[in-house]
Amino acid sequence: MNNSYKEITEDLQKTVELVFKEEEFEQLLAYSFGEFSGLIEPVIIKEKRDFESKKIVFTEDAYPMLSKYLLKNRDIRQAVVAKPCDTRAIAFYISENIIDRDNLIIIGINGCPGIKENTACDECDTKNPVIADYFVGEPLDESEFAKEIEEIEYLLSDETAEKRKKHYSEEFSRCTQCYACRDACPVCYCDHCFVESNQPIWLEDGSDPEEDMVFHLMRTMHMPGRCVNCGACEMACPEGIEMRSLTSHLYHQARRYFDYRPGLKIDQLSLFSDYNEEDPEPGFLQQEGD
Amino acid sequence: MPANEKEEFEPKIIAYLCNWCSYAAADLAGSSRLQYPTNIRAVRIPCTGRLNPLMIIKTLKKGADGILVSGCHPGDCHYIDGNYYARRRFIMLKELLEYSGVESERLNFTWCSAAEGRRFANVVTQVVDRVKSVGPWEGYLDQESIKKLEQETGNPGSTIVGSEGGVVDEQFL
Repeated sequence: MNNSYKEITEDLQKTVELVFKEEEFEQLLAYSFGEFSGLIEPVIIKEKRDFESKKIVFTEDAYPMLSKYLLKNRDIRQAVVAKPCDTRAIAFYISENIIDRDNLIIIGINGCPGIKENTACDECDTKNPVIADYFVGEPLDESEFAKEIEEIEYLLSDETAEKRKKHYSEEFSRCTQCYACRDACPVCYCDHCFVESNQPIWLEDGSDPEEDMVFHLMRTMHMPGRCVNCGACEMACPEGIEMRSLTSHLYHQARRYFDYRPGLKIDQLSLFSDYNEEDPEPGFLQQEGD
Repeated sequence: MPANEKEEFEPKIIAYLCNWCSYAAADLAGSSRLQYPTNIRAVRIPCTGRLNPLMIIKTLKKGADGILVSGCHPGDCHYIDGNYYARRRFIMLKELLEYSGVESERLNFTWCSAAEGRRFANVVTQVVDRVKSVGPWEGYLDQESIKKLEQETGNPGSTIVGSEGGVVDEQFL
């Protein structure tokens, strides 16, 4: 069974106190109630007395990915409260040499009960942290969440191509290109993003429903081999656009073709920086005599 | 006559050809006087590994009816392993575009060495047939549902001249 939010919160507060005693670091990233809103917000705690005044919690609304906040201060030593999907993103950072492992203290949440209204949690395949220094809660048995490739089901995976085209046309027509999906994504960290590039110009000025769709296709094309299927893009979207089925499809297809899932080990090459001579060639043109 | 129109449809196909093999194969096909359809527009690239997948997305956005990417056979790359990297990217790109509703006939990937002029001519014929079988490209969006949406809501943010809704100030055009 999954741990309850209450158990995790209690355990988390004890563990954070322990971390403050044992470790030296400059800041801690965690979830707490906002001062004015009362909603769950990421907080940065720099000193022990701040920790005493702020109540660190973990609830069903803790959807922001704290791993993303690590990137802003990658030179200092930081501690972070990490959901299992966060730990996968962190493992990906380490494998790509974005962040030094020695600069991180990871407080991983075991047996993550999931986030409210996040469809990614329904198809989650890592409910225990991949890497962590401290653990919170009881670990789940792997048989409870691990999925075989054959039994994977995800949004729209059974629909026809025409229906999906219709679906995406309608969804992306609401897109205002605010790039919240990019900004919320823990594995989008390029200093120079293609959407702001003006040489070459990938996306043109002005509003055009097709351009919105092209933006999403281009964004998704950056995702295979990085996307840890956390659902942060969809949670961040102010228009409530269902876009996760695209990245989710590539996530599962990369697993099917190349047995590749990002962020499971800290020393694995990313999907596109590696190859296997025996890779399949589905749908490549064949001629007689080949 | 709609039936006639479909017969006369001549697709525009952008062919990204590797400098070291497929481009030479196209050359060989030409100097061997092999006949193949004139629908392809060849773009020479240094290696298929150079081809950014976003370029293919953008090519289709700009109105090409289909694309062809041809490089060296696996193991024969001039840069040793460029086409192995490219292959992985093509597989994921193909999965993405087919999933979002692009017909698989428009996305063609193949390998052609510099000595395979005849194979190149056959490939081009095959690609043109494949693209003709799915008809003209109408864009990434489903035109019917977009028309329905525009009737309901207009397109208030549009800056396209002549489109419904939106404030278009002519001095900015």
